[in-house]
Amino acid sequence: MRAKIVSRAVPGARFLDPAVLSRIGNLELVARSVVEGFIAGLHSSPFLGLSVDFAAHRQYEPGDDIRKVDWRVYARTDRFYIKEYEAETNANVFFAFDASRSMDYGSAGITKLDYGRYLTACLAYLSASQRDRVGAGVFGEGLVDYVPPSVRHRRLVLSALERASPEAAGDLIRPLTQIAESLRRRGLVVLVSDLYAEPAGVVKALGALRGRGQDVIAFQLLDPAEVDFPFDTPRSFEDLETGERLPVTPDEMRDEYLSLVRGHVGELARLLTEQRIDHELVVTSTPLDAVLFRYLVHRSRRLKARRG
Amino acid sequence: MSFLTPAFLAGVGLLLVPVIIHLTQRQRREVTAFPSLMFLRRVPFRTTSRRRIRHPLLFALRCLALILLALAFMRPFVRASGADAAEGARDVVILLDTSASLGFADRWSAAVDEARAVVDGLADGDRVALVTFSRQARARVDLTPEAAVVRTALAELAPDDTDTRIESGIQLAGRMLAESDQATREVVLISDFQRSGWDDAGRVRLPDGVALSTRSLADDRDANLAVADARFTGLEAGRVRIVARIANMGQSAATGVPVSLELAGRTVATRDVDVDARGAATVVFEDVPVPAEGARGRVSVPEDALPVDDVLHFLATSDPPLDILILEGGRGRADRSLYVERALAVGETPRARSSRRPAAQLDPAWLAPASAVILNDADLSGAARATRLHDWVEAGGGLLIVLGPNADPGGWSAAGADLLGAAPGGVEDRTSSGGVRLAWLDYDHPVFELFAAPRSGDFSEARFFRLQRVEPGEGTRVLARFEGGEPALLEHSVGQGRVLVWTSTLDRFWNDLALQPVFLPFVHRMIRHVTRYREPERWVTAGGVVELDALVAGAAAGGVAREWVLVTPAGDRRPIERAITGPTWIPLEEIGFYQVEPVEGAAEPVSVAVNASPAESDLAPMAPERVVEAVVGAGATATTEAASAPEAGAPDGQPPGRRELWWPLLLLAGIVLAAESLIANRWTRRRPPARVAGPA
Repeated sequence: MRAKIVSRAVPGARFLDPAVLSRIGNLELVARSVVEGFIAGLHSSPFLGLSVDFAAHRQYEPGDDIRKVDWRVYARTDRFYIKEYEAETNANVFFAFDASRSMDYGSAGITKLDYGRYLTACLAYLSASQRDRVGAGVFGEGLVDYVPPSVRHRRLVLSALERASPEAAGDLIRPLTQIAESLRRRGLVVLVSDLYAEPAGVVKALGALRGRGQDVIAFQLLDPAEVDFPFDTPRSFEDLETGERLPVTPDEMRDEYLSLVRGHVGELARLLTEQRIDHELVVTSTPLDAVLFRYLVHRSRRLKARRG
Repeated sequence: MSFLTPAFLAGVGLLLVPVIIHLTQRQRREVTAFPSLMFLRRVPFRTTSRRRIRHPLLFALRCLALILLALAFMRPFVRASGADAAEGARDVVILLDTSASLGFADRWSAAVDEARAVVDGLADGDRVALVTFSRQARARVDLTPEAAVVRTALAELAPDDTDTRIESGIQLAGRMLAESDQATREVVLISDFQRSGWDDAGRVRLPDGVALSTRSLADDRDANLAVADARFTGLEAGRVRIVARIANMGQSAATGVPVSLELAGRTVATRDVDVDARGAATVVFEDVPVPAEGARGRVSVPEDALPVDDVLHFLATSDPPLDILILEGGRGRADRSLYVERALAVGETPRARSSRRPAAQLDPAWLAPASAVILNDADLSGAARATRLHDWVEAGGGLLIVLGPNADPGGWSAAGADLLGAAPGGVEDRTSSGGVRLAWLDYDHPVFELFAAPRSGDFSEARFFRLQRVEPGEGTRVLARFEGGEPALLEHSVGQGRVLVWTSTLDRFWNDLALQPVFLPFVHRMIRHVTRYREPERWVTAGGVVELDALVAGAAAGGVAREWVLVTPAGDRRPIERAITGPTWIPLEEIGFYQVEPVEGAAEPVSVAVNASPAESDLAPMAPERVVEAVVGAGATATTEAASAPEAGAPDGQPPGRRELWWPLLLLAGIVLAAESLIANRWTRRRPPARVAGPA
């Protein structure tokens, strides 16, 4: 299975350069700019009103808005039924944000950490605007910051993201297990990480969430330099997490490196799909609204699948 | 195949350099932070990138180019065979420069290496000879097929202290090959080609058909300080003023050079001096005490790359002044000798002490200490006086006769007439015509040779209003004539003495010569000539000779000893064999002090100081082609080559019987390097990076 990146143009989307967004600084402002602009660009889109998609019928009860009575059902059955929509379900959306040192790398004007921060903020903003309960967990080696899901926790989530700093080596299993244990309601867990771990370990870590009935979307963030490997002259590479140095002849080993990265991403996607976990590879040069678009497509697909 | 310079095989060792660099420079200085080495660690670069050749073809090409270059510098050659063998064996004369300048730095070892390379390049059947040259050429090894003999001779050679005479070596080499009946004859000239060592007057040529190849040892190095000269004045009172000249032959100035003066083995004084590049400076040692019997001395600068010219050896001997007796006539002007006296008083070399006496009262006691007599406008009519003077001259005295208005040579006695050496013809008065000038001078004569060069003295400015007409007698030589052809200065010998006759006055009465700038040197030259004065020879140049009898003549009781021994500067004692006929010449080839000692008897030993020729100090080279063009005869080839770096592109100049392969190898190396560059550029051109991406 080959991994895909979402860097292609999306019709109707207004792309915002992540590097430009990084200059704004205020996370909420960034999220609002991106999300509101994004929604404004979706007027002619089939995704308009996604959050009020039909979910089920229930019998009319006194006090219900008569505008929500399904008159066609009434015509067939002679009973009053009210249409319920998805947005009214107040789903849990929890963001698991990887703040390990490997995320503090950027070759295109923005680090993966900042890009993930903006992406998570946008998603949180988008979810909150749909009246979802939003929460977040920032982790490195362990869980370092935790905001429980709530409809009123949007600002707390953004604050937690603001505070996130790369200070430790990354680990997925322990923090994700902690998160899985902390979430009591089923909902959507969005993992934002570079997923520098063995695919089996990643699946094992996310399996804890899936095992508790959570829907999971994993955004794998990679810098353009990690997917292009544009280096040519011999040099030493230093691991951001361990400080280890390795003399490398990039020109000589580019092909092998890219093959390994490609294999890793493909293996991740395959294993996660088997676990019904969405996997999205995002290169940090990709405009944020394009990623949001892909996110909505995935959610839409998942909701339909669940209903189907 | 053989090699002329197999030492360059070590150049193949350069092959290891890139490999060593490749293996040792594993840790690059440039460090790039990267999120994770997870994938990089998995790439097996440790075993492939460093230890495996990335581009075997490029590596092979580079190695091949290095090997070809090393081979080219080894100068491989193959001996002629088949059709080439028809040319037959050859005779080669190695003409090796052994002059003092070869002692500069490592030139001598380079010269010997070149000579050995020539020997190594000989083919079977070739004959080789070794001729060395400096001031003289010597055949060290005659033409022989035994190369080992030449190698042995080379090992025993060393540069001498004499100067360079390339033409002498060419002449001897040409003579050796002229007797050769081989079809191929060649001279290999190995020298530093000092400009001063070549006189290309075209007098020397190699026989037709003799090839000449040159190996120049010259390079850019020319830094050399030399003690070029020393002048001595004021020795009379036992104290001397020594002015040494320090020459800097190099391209950079020398500052604070300590110059030491040593007398009788003791350092007397040291002075520091700054010498400009390609310039000279003088160092003055004032008031230096010198023993009455003389002493050995040295002026020296610190030793440099050419040591032979860093010391100037000299003998500080006394130079007594000349006693000049001026005999005047009873009548005449009181100041007639004034100008002569003043002129003699000015001289330094020689110094002169003059005394005026009346000619009519000539006393033999006056003549005894006199070095020369000036008979100034005085007559010699008295037979006794004339005879006394004649006898004195005949015994070796010097006489200058000045014929003024009071001389009246027509009335002289027979002895006087003999001293005059010419028939008097009376006074010639040219006042009415405004006087006459000197029209002809014999510039080859010692009196006038000083004035031979342009702007070295103008005698034509002087006007002569009266003169004594004389007709030169037999054996009398006219040295100068007036405009009318009348003799102005005559010379002849009387016994062992010399006589000069000046047919006008030496004051302002008959001419204005005394007012001319040439007057003073003219008087000095006449006195030097009649007294046979020679400056004391304080040293001789290495390679020169001295005559035994002249050398020991001044030694006390020198006439007693007959057999003499020469003690060289190195301390060797060599008996001096007298020539059966003629003078006995002693060659002096080493710098330092020679001593000539009597085998027996009371005679004092005599010292001779020897110094290197100043010409050897100037290392400026000339183009070897100048020699080649001048000496190579018809039907011969010529090759010029730097000793350490062979020039490309002269295959025609290869010695016959040998085919050198260095230039095709160089050409091939160039082609290989060009191919390597082309391929490397193509392969290392940056490839467009791949991406971790797939179809949508």
